Amino acid sequence: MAGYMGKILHVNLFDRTTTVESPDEAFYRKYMGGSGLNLYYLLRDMAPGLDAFDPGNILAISAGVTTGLPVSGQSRITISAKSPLTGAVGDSQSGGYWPAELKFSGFDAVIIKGRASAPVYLWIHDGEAEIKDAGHLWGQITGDAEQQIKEELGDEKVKILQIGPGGENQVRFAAVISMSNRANGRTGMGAVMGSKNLKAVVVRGKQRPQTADRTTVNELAKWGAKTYPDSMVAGMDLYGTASAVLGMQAAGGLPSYNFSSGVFDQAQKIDGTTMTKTILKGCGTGEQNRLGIDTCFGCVVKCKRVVEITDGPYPVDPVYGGPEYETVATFGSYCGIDDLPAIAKANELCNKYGLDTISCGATIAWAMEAFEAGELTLEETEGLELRFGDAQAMLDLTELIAKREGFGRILAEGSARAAGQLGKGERFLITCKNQESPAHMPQHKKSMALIYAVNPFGADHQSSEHDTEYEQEVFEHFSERLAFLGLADPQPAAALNAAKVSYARKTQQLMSLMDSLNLCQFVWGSTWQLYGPEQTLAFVRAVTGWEVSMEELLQVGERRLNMMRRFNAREGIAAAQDTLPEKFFNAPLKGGLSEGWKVDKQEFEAARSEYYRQCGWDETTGIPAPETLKRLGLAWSIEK
Amino acid sequence: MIRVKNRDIAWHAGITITELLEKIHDSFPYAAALINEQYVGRSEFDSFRIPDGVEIILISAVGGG
Ligand code: SF4
Repeated sequence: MAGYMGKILHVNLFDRTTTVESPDEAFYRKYMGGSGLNLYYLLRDMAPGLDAFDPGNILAISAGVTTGLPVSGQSRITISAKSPLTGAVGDSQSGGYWPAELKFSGFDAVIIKGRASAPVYLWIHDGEAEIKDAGHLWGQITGDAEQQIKEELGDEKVKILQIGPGGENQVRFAAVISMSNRANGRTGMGAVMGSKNLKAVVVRGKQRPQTADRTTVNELAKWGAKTYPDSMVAGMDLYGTASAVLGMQAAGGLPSYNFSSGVFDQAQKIDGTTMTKTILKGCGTGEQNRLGIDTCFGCVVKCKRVVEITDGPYPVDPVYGGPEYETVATFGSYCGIDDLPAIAKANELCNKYGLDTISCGATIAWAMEAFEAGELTLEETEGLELRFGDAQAMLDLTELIAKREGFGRILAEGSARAAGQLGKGERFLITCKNQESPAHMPQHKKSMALIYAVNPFGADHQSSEHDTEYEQEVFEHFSERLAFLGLADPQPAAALNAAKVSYARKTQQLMSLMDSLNLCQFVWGSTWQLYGPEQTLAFVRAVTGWEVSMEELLQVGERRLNMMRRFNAREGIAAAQDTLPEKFFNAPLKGGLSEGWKVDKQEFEAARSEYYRQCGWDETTGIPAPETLKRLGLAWSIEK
Repeated sequence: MIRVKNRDIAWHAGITITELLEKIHDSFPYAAALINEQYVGRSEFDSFRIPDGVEIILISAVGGG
């Protein structure tokens, strides 16, 4: 079966056993891989109503059908489990070299159940799997554990996916980290791994995925490399994703002061262009374009940053990479902080301890606003003055959260639970399903209001294409790609009408497919990315040899979303949780271009009903209708 | 010379950002530009005179990440 390794590894940590499953081609074609494949096991094998830290929670880690091939943007994994942050389905992607190496080790996915009686790690190599003791690694930061595992396995080239102390301490937004600088950040998958006493999953192998049509795959790779310098993603190598800071600022959509404003006066000080010139490794000698950038297996875009700071108050070790746009925004403009070295330090701490930078920065920003408003007292913060702009307080809190010490004990629960426990600060929350909002503002891009609310795993910015890409002037540049998805009715960014709902829903299905193919959304997508949807179809056909249509592929994305909604329905999560924080409706933005912008509640609710209707879900509850599940081949899930 | 999008473009006195974009056949509606670290908003694209020997970074408001 071309593209796949044809094997799924099942691990039971309770009795330390492993088994190998070899699904048939029909299974792979239906669920594809990545998130879609993970959801199949979560929905089929997990009892409803379990606590996320119950040993019965399933941690599923999957690569995609194209993972490990020499084309840009394919080396990614999805990790899924019930989320300790949201109580709903959890789902998170990351790139690097680990995903390709998983395939080389002989497996498409690893499905983990149970809890080990003491810390262990999983060692997967050339089709074999061993469970090894990890007591000596428990408590270590990621960089140290990475080094020690390489030494004890006697192989510098093993690839390590692991948790840091944040995951061990079950911080509800703990990340899973690979290479010490790539994070499956969202929804607390690191905390689930910690609850299983699983420190790491280590992979290595010499097997390679096959392709049905190698010539077309090679042509796609060559086309990407040739087109990149003139594409919309050109410059990601030089300036990284953090170069989006100034774009968001120009549009009045840079979340600042815990989403109280869409502009930050000091935006340029924290932008990716400034990062390149001031703190990227090698910038002192003009070598930052060689030493300060990094990539994922086979990718020509090279958007990853490597920061090195050797002097000043915030030294940063390049092993831990450098901050993305989301990280720069959450620790920067969200917290009113314009000190780029401090932001890079916060990124280092999150990668060292294994924390999601988005939830961590946003939780601190929430605490700062609640403290400045007088709702949190010094007694509650255990003596910490929490004021916007205070970089040292931000860094102190990040450490305390990872270690669950002091006020960090409460913030390690996430901002929504912290507000609940303290009985304070609820009006400052920016959470959807308890997950802190990423750095794209629903007050600016109105379909984000809808997608943040209805997304099964909470506020997420990579679950649909954004509104700005569907505005007339921009649309003209992407009309061919969008027409391929049946989208030809451009709308202003501020519109949230039926046409905008269609755009959000269809691009959500495409992104959902991307997370099942595990393709990077900076490289593959529906508008500005290097490759468009027509090429995605060509890629899947060339790899698998299947005569799939775009409709069939989009249905894979739709199927995954419906499995997620079905999973959530069993947990009692439906329309009542598909909402936005009151702050987005009631607190108009302050300052600059976006002065006065907010989300209109009535318009939002109408859009949500329209979305449910278009999805074939109950218009009141938002639960997939039985006929929709049957149409998607998910009748089996109705009884689950 | 002006450096833009990894290319060197011939400079002439008085050249604006709008003219430069025409010259490189780029009609994308950029939100702003950085010219040697100076921020220039789109409303100034017709009037801002680009100095010789600078690097220009074009800023768009699209994209996730
Ligand atoms: S664009 Fe960046 S994140 Fe995506 S695959 Fe390439 S290097 Fe990795």
